[in-house]
Amino acid sequence: MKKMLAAALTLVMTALLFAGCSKKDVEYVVLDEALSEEQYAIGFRKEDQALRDEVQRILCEMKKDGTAAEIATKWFGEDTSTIPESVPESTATDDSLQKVKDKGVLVMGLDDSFPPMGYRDQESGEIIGYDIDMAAEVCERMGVELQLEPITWAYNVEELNQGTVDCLWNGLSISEERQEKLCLSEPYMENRQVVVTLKDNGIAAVADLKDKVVVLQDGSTAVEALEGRQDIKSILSGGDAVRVPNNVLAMYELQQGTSDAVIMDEIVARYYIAHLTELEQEAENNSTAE
Amino acid sequence: MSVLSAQNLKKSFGANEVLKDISFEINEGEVLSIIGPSGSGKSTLLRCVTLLERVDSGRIAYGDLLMADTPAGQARAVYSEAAVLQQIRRRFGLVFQNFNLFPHFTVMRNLTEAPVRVGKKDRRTAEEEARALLQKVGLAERADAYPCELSGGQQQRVAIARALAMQPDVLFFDEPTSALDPELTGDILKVIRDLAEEHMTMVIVTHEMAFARDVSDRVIFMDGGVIVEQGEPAQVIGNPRSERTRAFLSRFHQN
Amino acid sequence: MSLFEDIAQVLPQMMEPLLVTVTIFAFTLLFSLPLGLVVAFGRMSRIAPVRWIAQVYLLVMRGTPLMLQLIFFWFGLKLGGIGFSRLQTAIVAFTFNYAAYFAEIYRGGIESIPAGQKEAANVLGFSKSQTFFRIVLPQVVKKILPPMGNEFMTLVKDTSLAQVIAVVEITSIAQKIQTGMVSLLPIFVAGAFYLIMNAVVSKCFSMAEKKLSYYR
Repeated sequence: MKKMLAAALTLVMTALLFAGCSKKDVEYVVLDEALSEEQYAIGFRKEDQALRDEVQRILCEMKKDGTAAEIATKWFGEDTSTIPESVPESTATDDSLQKVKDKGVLVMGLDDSFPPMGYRDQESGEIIGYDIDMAAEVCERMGVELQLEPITWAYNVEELNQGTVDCLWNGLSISEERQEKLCLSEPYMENRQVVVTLKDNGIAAVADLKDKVVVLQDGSTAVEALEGRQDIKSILSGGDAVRVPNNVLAMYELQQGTSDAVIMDEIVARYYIAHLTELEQEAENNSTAE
Repeated sequence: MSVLSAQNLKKSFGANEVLKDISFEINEGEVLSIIGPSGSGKSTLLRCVTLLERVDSGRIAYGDLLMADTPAGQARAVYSEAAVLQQIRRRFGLVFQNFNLFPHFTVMRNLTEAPVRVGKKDRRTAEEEARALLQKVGLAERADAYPCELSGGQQQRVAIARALAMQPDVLFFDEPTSALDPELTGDILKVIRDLAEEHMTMVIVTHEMAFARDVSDRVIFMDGGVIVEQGEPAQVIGNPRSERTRAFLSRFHQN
Repeated sequence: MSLFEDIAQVLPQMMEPLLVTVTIFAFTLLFSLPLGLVVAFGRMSRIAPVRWIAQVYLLVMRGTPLMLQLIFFWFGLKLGGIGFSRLQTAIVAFTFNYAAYFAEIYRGGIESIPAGQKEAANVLGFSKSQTFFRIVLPQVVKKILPPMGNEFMTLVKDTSLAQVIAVVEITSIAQKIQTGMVSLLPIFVAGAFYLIMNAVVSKCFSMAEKKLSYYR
C-alpha cells in the first residue's frame, strides 16, 4: 500500500512539474498562406447510393431552412459550411436507405478525437462536435436513431466495408482514392492545412520556415500536404518535418520551444488556439486573484 | 520361493547393447547385491525391473504376475496390460541414488501421499504407519520438516521409509550411498542391515564392497552387460573365479 | 489548484475505460493461462504433427506484433461479423497471444523439474495425471513465478494496444480527452492507473513467492 502511495505521489509531482512549465506566456499565430486546401464530405459504402442521396437531400433542406447555418455558427462563429441548396433528384434503386430505416439506426463511424468536428467533452466525456450536431439533425429528419461508433480512423474504409458502421462522418477529406473507394456526399466544408507558430518565433511567411523544426501529426492530411510541397519540405531543418502521434503533442512541442512550427488542419488549429489562450487567461486571472 | 524372476533380458540404447541376455532370480527374504564397474548395465537392469525402462526382449515376472514376456518366434517383449503393471508396482519399492524426495511435501507427506492416493488408505492410518517407519529409520522427530532442511543421509533414510510405506515385497536400492559424504553412509547401511535382519527381500546395487560382503546372501558381478559371476559373497568378493572380477575388485583394494 | 480540478474533472470519465482495461487483463488471464498449458503439452507431445502445429502457433503468435494480430482478428477473421464485440475480439486476440508466451514459460518450468521426480512418483504407483498435478505442477508454479510476474505486468500495459480496433480503454480515452482538453494531463493520469495496477500485481507475486519459499 505504501508503495502504491509513493508511486501515485511521484506521478502527481511529475504532472505538477509539467503543468507548471506549461503556463508560459505565448501567443499563437496562423500563417495566412496555406499549404493545401481540401474539402470535407460524408463517406458511404460504394453501393449505398440511396442512403447517400437521402442524407444529401436532408442536408440541402437544412441549408435552405437555415438550420445548417445555425449549427455552423454555434461551432465556428459564422456559417462556414459549403452545403449546396439543391441537388438532382435521386435515381438510386438500392435498398441501403430502407435497411437503415428498418433497423431504425444510423451508425456513424468517427474518430472521437477531432475537435471541433467530433471529440469528447472535457467535463462530461460525451462525444460532441459540429459533425455530431449535423448528423443528429439529419437522423431526426430521417426518423432514425443516431448511433456514434468511435473507430480507429486509420481503418475507416475497412470498418465501413465490414458493416460495423453505415457512414464515415468526421471531417473526412475528399481525395481521389476515397472518391474511387467510397460513395461521397457533396463537400460540406472547406479546410486548409496551415502553419501554426508562435509570434516570437519570427516566422511570418512560409519561406521563413528555412532551417526551422516543424512538427505534424503522423498519418494526418498535413503529411500529404507537405509531400505536395517539396519546395517547403526541402528547406526544413533535417529536410523533413518531425512526426508525432497526435496534434496535442505537436502543440506542446511548439509551446515548449522544442519545435518552431506545426502544420495542421486550420479548423483544429483555430479550436486549439482558442482553447489554449482561454486557459492562459484563466491562469492569469487566478494568479492575479491570489 | 521366487519373488522376482528375470530371463534372457536384452536392452539396447541405439547401437549400444547395455544388457546382453541377463537372467537372475531373487528369492523371498534374500539380500542380493549387484556389483560391477560403471557402465556395466547394473543400473539399467534395476530400471528395467522397476518399469522405468522397458526391455527389448526377455521375460520378467513378479511371483504370479507377469510383467513382460517375449512370445516364441518374436523379437520384442510384450508387456502386460496397464492394470497388471500397476499391480506389480505395488510389489516393489525403489530407493534412488539422489533420493528424489518431493521437495514441496513435508517428510510426513512424502511418506503418506502414495499410501493415501495410490493405496487408498485413510490418512490417519497412513500417518500412524509413517510414524512407525520414521521411528525405525531414526527420524521420528523430523516428520514436519521439509526435505531441504535435512542432511543427505537423513533424506536418504526418509526415501527408504517412503519406499517401505507402500509395503513392497522387494526393495531395490540404486547405489544408495553414492551421493553421500563417506561419513554419512554409515547411517544408511545400518538401516539396510536392520531391514536384512527382519528378512526384507532386497536388491542392492552398490560400490560398498565390504558392506555387500557383510550383508548379502548372494552377490552378482556384472560387466559389459552380462553376469560374469555370482554366488556367496565370501566366494565372489573374497575369492573370485573370473579374471574380470578379480581385476575389478583389485581396484577397490588399492584404494 | 487548477491541476487537481483538472484531475477531478478527468477521473470520472476514465472509470468506465479503466474497467475495460481491467476486463481485458482479467479475461485474458482467465483464458490464456489454461490455453497456454494445452499449447505447452502440444509443444512437448510425442506425436510429431501435434508438436509441429504447436511450434507454428508459437512462431506466429510470438513472431508477429500483437497490434497486427488484433487487426487480423477484427478485420481478417471478421469476428465482428459473428457477433463478437470489439472488446470480446480484443480478449480473444490477447488470449491467443499470451497463451503462446505462457506455454513457453510452462514448458521451461516443466522441463526444469528433475526426471527423478517423475520416476519416484512412477515407482510409487502415481498415475500420470496424479504425477503431473500433485508432484510436478506445484513445483513448476514455484519456478515460473518470476517470469510469470513479468508477463502479467507486460499484459497490464499491453492492454492499451486494444485501441487499434477502437476499444475504448484507459490509454485511448486519455488520448481522446487530451485532444479536447489540449493537455497531456489525461495520459499521465492513465499512467498512474497502470502503475497502481502493476503495483498490485507485483505485490501479489511477491506474496505468492513468499508463500512458496518454505521449500527449495
